[in-house]
Amino acid sequence: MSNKENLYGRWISGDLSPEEIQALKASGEWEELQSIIDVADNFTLPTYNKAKGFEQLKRSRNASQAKTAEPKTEAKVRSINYTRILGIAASILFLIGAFIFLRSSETMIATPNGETKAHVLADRSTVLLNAGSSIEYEKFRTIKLTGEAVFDVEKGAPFSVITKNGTVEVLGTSFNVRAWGDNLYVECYSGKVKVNSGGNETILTKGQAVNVVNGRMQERQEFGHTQALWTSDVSMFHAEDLNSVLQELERQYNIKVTAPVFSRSFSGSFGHQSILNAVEQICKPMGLTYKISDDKKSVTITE
Amino acid sequence: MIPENICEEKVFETVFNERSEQLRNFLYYKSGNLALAEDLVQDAFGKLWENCSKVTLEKAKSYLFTIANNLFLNKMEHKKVVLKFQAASPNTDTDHQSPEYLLEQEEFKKRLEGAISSLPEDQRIVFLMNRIDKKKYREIAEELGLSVKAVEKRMHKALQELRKIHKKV
Repeated sequence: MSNKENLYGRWISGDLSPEEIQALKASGEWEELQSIIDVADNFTLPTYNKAKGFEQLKRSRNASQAKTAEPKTEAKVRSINYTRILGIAASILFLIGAFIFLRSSETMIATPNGETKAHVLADRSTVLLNAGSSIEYEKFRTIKLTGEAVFDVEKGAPFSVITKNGTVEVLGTSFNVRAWGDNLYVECYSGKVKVNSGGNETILTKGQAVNVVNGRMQERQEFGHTQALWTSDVSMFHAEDLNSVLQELERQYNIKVTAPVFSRSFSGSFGHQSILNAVEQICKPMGLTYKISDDKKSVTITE
Repeated sequence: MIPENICEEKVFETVFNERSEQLRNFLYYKSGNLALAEDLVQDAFGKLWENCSKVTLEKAKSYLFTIANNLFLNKMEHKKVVLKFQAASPNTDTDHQSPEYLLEQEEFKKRLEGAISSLPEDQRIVFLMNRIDKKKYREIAEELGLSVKAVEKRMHKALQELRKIHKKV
């Protein structure tokens, strides 16, 4: 019986008997496992910046050593009370100053075209910014958004995302907000969110989305995925203005798209891996012709 | 031979260069949070430096994983993990493949990411250390303080679970 044990585990370490190999191949398991391994082996994480990491480590080490060295000098000064009091007063003033300064400063995070960025807020809520987007905040649970981002909000006080076309309010949930041009599109992945726009209000629960076009809120829709598609390198649109779809293409690939102004809408998706396929995925169903420059930096689209 | 002393900056830096990325990855597999993982790498190496006189070079790596693990437990209440990966070598041939095929590939990658994220933590970590950090069972066992057999078993269970994504189509 023990020779059946941990079969897949031993498959990885190449620790199988010829009979076991044959059996795995015959049952189709081999192929299934191999296809999983093939994809997983291509997964990578961003490179860790070791030089920077080590610098940071040295800095915080020096800082903490300086702190432990301090008490010696402090002991000598202890008898002169004035300096101590003055010192304390100065630090209090400094702290008040720092508090006022920090309170009024806004944090701004932006992504250039062709890049995305994850940002962790002080309450451990996370924001995943899509290409060419930005957030600004003073208080960390009130965020101004330009563009598109996924929010994964920790439970607690109300959390609001303010966009030019409306406000999204939540208690603790994850959702994607896309606010480009005159459009606001919100998808909710867990919990509940309330979307406010032009006096209209709607509450979304898991798997529901709403689209606001030119200030008009449309019917709620259902969707099937469990996370924002752009985080899996796909941009998906439901009856979206074709011009804004092309702008998204520009942002994702950091390219220039030259096209006439369309008055049509596009439903479908494009991937973020190959510019050729992406352009094809947009142009083919719309019956458009296109030309991609040799350096792949610009695309010209014609009817 | 005199064992190398990790209190010396040169030695310590070597340890950092060899281990920091793996440790960061390990913490990411645990938490699904890259920023947190990188913070904890700092904390763990900070602790190692503080205690450098008590830890031999040999013991440093399992020490780092243990410390990182403890720091993580202190910091996080348990939360659902969502892992994201980049595709290492975007197939240079993509231009000749149909959009449908590529979409299917993307769909599969997404499902696999989801399935990996949903694995029990101990299986997930072993699977990813083996596949992404390309570590042998023996190395994983050493770092996590497990037997090689236990690592093999976790890998087996992980694959058993992941194989199910083929049936969900």
